[in-house]
Amino acid sequence: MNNSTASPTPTNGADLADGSVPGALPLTGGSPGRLFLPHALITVAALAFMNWLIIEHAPFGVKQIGASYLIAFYHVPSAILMGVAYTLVFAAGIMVLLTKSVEWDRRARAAAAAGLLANGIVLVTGSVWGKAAWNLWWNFQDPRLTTSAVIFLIYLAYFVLSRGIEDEAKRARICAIYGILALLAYMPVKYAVEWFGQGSHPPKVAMDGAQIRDTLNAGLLAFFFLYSLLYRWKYDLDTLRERSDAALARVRRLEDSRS
Amino acid sequence: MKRRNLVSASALLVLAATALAQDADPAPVSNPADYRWAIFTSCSVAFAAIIVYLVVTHNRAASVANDVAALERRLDELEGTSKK
Repeated sequence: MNNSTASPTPTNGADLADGSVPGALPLTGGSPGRLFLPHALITVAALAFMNWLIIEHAPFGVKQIGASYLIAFYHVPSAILMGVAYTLVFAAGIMVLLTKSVEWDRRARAAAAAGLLANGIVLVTGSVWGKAAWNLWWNFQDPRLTTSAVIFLIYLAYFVLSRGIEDEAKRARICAIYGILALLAYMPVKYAVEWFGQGSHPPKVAMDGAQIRDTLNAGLLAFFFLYSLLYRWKYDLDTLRERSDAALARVRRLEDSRS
Repeated sequence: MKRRNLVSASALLVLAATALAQDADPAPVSNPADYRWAIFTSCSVAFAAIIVYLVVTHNRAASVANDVAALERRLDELEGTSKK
């Protein structure tokens, strides 16, 4: 999206206190999504490089779980970045409450979208890995699996809540509080094994060795590009939606004043 | 919206069918090294689909953004006129 699309009168980060509809938000806050395609291409390259490392570089199988451990190169980076994304939702929620800016609400929603995709990938790859390693697609007795699924639903509900509230200021405030509380619900996922016992999921899989570390780091980088791409996509589209809503509100006001 | 739901439902059905087929026919894998290519192919297709979707919809949004910008400029003019 190019810079020329920015409004001549940007009111980005409109103050919620006055309850006004922002007249014209620029498409992105200060940095238009001009580099979206290069970002996407870098993501493709990073994912291809990670896959190449998985095929050619990483050792085939580790002692505990054999070849199925290869899926860890998708599962573990996604799990780490899911935690990062949900922490960003929490931080953006605090910023909404402190600054009363809808800009941070958009950032929180974008981070929640990235976290939700990461969470989805964690659940799917975890399930496939579980089938290969334990001959089980799912085990509801396992605390980490169950809490991961619950947190997915909690953040899915975040979007339902966000879509359900029309008033911008009210939505930002309520979603901020929800996002802050949701991180508390995320803690049982992180500490599930320590708090509730091991279940099927081991506390830590021994994945030592330079080749495995290289591949894991490449996976972390590749997934960082992927989730940040989704973050930017969600942020840009939400900004555009709010801009068009604001323009529509101006059209209605104009029609009212003329009738 | 309906088409999107249809695509999502189809994807879920394909996943479910794959899972069922796996359970019905647990044929041993003759060459475990094939797993690597299975992972590479399936994950590449899934990620490529996600990235293509993001780029296409973002590009479409960029063209809509131009229209919104034009609308905003016109509104600025009209509001200027109406205030006079």
